[in-house]
Amino acid sequence: MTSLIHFEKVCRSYGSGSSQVTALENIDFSIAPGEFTVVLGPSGAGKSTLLNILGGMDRASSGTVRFGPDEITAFDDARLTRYRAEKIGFVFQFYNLIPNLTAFENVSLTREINRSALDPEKTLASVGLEHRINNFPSQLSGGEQQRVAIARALCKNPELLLCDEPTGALDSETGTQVLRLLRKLCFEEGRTVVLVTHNAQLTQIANRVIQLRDGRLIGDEINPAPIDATEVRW
Amino acid sequence: MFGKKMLRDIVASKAQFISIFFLAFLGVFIYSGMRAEWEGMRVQVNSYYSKTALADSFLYGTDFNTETLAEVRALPGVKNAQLRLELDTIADLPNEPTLRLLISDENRVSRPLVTGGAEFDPQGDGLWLDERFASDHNLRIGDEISLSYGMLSFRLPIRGFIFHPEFVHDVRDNTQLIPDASLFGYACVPASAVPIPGELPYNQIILDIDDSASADQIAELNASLEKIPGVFHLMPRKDHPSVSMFEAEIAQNRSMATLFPILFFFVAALSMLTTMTRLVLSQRTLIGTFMGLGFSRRKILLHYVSYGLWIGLLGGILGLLSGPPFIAALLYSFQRVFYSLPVWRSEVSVISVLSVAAAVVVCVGASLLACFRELREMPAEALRPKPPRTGKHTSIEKTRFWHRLSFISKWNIRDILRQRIRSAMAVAGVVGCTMMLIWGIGIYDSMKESQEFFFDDLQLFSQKVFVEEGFSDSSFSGDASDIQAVDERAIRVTGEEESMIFGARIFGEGSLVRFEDTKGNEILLPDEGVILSRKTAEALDLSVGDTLSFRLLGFDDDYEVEVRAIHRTPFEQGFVFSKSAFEKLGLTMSPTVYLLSEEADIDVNTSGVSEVQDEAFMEKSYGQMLEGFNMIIWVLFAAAVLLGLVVLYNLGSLSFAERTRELATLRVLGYPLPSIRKLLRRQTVILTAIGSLLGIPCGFFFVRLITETVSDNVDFPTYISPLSVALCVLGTFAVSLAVDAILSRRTAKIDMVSALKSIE
Repeated sequence: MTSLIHFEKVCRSYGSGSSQVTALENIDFSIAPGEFTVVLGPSGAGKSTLLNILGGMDRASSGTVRFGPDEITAFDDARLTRYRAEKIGFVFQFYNLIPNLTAFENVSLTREINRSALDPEKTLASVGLEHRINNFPSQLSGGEQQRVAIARALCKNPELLLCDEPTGALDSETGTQVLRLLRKLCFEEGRTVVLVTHNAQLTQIANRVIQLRDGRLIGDEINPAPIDATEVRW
Repeated sequence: MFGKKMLRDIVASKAQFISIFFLAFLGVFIYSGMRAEWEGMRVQVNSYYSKTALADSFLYGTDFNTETLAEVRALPGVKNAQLRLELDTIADLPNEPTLRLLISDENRVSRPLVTGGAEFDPQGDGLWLDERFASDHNLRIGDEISLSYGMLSFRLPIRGFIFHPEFVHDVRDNTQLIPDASLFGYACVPASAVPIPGELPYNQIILDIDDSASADQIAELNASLEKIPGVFHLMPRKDHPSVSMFEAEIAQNRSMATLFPILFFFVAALSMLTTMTRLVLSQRTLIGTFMGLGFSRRKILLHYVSYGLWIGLLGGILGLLSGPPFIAALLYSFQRVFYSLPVWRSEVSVISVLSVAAAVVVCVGASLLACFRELREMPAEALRPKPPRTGKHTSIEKTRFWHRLSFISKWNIRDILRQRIRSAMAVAGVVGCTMMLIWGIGIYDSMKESQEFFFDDLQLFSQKVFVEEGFSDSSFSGDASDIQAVDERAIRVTGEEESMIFGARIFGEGSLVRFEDTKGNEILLPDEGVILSRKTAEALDLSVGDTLSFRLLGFDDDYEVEVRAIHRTPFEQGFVFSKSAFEKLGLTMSPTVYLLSEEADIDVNTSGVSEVQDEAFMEKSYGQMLEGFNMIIWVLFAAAVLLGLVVLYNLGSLSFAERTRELATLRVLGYPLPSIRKLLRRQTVILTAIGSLLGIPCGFFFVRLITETVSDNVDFPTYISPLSVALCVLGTFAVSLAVDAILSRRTAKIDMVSALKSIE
């Protein structure tokens, strides 16, 4: 048992009877600690559902999801909340910073819910934003905002960094910067990263590529030679 | 098409639109209800006065007879005049009530309105009795009442029940605030029914003046009337205690009816503005699409303005339909305690209907304002998603205090400052809520305080014995208690335009009545000069050190006197002299009242004694009047709670709607639900605290407004106990927490997945 994340026969369907829609069907995969995984699929493939279940925001209809020693499919709401607060660092496509809190305050939010949170100032410095800590989100560029969001996720010292299209709203240059940062966090600092995207180019930087289509797993491959983010063609 | 869209938009933001609907409804409900109340009172009392031909002028004096009457009737401008003898008799009934007889041999002026029994016959026998008095004493037509006046006593059968236009405020005199049919009533008696031989010693002539008489003619007539022998005093109708008291009541209701709804409309406008701004902002790209499709700006504007139109119209019309029957009925049940009118019916006037228009204008105006700000843009700009809201460092962040605040407070304070109109709406609503609570409690506290002040601090006697002229105080000599003689009489102060009548009290040796100045220090009665009550000093525009001149009723000699002090008392306004000060003016004191420190068992039938009042009994009946105020206080409380609920609910649901995305993000980040509730509650708590702090002085202002205008004969100190203030603030917070409890269920429904979606 070296895997950090383990999906076993995970199904998720919405509605009931004839109007039932299946979003995920019998998904099985495992992710080892320290891996950089890209979940790839076109829209409607079920990647958001997978992300929601892995992130503790939604429940599987059947099957089990393990996170380390815990079976999160058996958690109640309060334990799921704690799971999100303690284990998962979330990075959103649209950053989701609180508009009337400064960069520093956005990152400090974490300390309200996680006792083992890191120092917000140092975390911001680690993403290269030590000079912008007192700026509000509206005063930052898209790339800077996303780096604040990553700092917010890192501040909890999470076991898993879960990124939902983190470069989806960014231009190629700033997108590259964000990807380099994520890669550095994984390959130099040993964090587990799961990145969900519809952009097939991004698979080149990952160790592991999971492909979804129409709610089914159609590929789970190891990439033996991940390339640097600067070499990704957009 | 646009109609359907509007309905769906309203359903989608139903909480906010329901709040606005409620505010528009409440504004019109209260305005039209209160207006219908006072207008109804005015219409009914005016029709009552004209139906009964209430006298236009009252002439008081002694020894009026048919010759005097003929002289009065001959004066130009006099349409009708009638002799009358007013006599306060004691009825042989439980509590020995006073029955005021109006004895006359004609029925031309100030006619009784018969509500049961035989028509009033001025040549008949028996008496026509005050209906309230009759029902309080369980008297029926045909029953006989024994009456005594001094040595004279007689029995009269009841022929009918009446209302009399001079007794709308059915009290003995201005020391009695609330009518009490068990102690006082009146009756109309034909002159022929009274067993007094010869012509009656009439003491009043009541007159009807020609409607066509000009002001100059009336002034001329009044001058001639005052010269008629035996005349003490001429009183125009507007100065009649009952008439002026009821007029003041109407005026007071009128000012309240105006102030109240302004508050509701103001809060409605702010709510509409915030709600519509949010709606229009959230439909920015939609508006851009409409523009792109070729809809004119005017058409789009009309569409959004129609939200305000329909909400305002619907709320207003429902308010107009339910306000007059409900509010007026409620207030009349309170007014009936104080006033007797044959008919209590509310009156809906055009202006009440216009208040619906006011509600519509308020809602439409706020919608227009919200739309104008957004619709100025070009379609292409409008199509782009709205730029993210900017955060700003505010000036308080520079203070040291800021750094000590918790994270949640910082966030909420920035949010409050960012959404200024929404915050203003919430604060205004909370101010209104606390204000009305303080108002309600303050009226009660002030009257309770007046009661304690008057009965415990000022009146140190326990019994008051009214006596007739020539009574000798040796009758009391056997009793051990202290006795103080008082001469209570009326005096006249002649001003530049008209003369005014005031009560004067001349105190003999003793200390059974205390006097306090306006700061609460005791005043001892000076051996020279006069002390005035605060209201009297205000009415005459006099202060300490000024001199004034007065006359005794029925005499033309002027007496000059210096004002030595101004004292404060809730009830007995007027002049106060010590016996020596009065005698220094060359006048003689003749006691009409004796104050006794201990209750003595004095028989009213003792020769020379006309009435005995126990202070304990007086205080009890005052207490009963206070109970009567409970209704008004509950109405104020209900309005306060409703306003608070509606506004805070609106605040809560708006700030929830505006921050849904932020809250969903926090949920994804792992914020537990209780922390999210705490975050939302904090804003409500901050705004409630600000609002209730501002509401306290506003409440004091309104209580003062009531206590200052209640009547010229009364001077209630404005007093609200600290405990009451604390209770009102607590009450406001209770409303706020109740709303929070209702709204907090929503936090469980926050959809975390929505945080992942794009902003539009």
